[in-house]
Amino acid sequence: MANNIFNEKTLSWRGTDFDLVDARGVTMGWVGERWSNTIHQEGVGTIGLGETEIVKLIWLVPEDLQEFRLLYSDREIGRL
Amino acid sequence: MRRICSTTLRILALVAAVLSGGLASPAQADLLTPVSVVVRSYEALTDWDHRALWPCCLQRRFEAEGMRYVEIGVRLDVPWSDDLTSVRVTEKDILVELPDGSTLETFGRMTYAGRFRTSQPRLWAIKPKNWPEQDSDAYVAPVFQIPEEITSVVLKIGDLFETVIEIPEPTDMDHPADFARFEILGHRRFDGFKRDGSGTHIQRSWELVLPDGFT
Repeated sequence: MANNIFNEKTLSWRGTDFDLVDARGVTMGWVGERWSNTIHQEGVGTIGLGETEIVKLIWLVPEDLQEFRLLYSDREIGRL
Repeated sequence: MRRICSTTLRILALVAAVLSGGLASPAQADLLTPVSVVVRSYEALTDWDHRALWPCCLQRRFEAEGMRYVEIGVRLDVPWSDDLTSVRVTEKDILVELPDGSTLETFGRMTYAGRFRTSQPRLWAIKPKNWPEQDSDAYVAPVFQIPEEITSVVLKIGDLFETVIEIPEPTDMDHPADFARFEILGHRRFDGFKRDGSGTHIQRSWELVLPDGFT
């Protein structure tokens, strides 16, 4: 389903829409989105409906933490 | 069908402009014709301007007794010509007129479905370089805070467009995560990141230096 209000064929997101939190819900520090050979903090990704996009996201995390929850716009979408 | 209607409307607009004494200019009333007008109302809004800056999942929420938030997504066809190469309306001229004749300025705007921002909306479009092979519409999605007893307003976008808006019953905002499926393909830890500069102008090479105890 498109989230573009004016174009029913695209979906857009920002890297900052994602959050990584630890088991207690503490937010990890957002570094950016890996893109080619650099890291971007800003920018909007857009894909067509039905397409797939691989997004590489980077956070700064304590070495001793092992369990995390990945959220998109405050909704959990996976664990690692 | 939409293309035919759009072209027809554009021709009619140009004919009207010529008959009225000149080619279309951005200051002409009813210059733009609607391709779509989508209206939704909400009892509360979550602010996405702060969302990116704050830790998860702290939210700033707007809710006011006796008020509703009305989102009006407008897509407008522009009758591009040699003389009309851009249209621009700033937030101060995007208004709704209430039944008593008073007007309200915008409360914010929608960037994407389910994402409200307090930053103000602007209507801006430019004629494509390869027009008329390629067309370009004008878009804006203002949000207004309107007393809940009001059921109908007039949306005014400068002198370019106005239309009556019937306000629907409030609904829940879309959740941004409803629009996609997510899958974690893998993850890895690393203890630094180096970027070797490249490019034809300034080459910037840099390195992320992590604090002790972090990856």
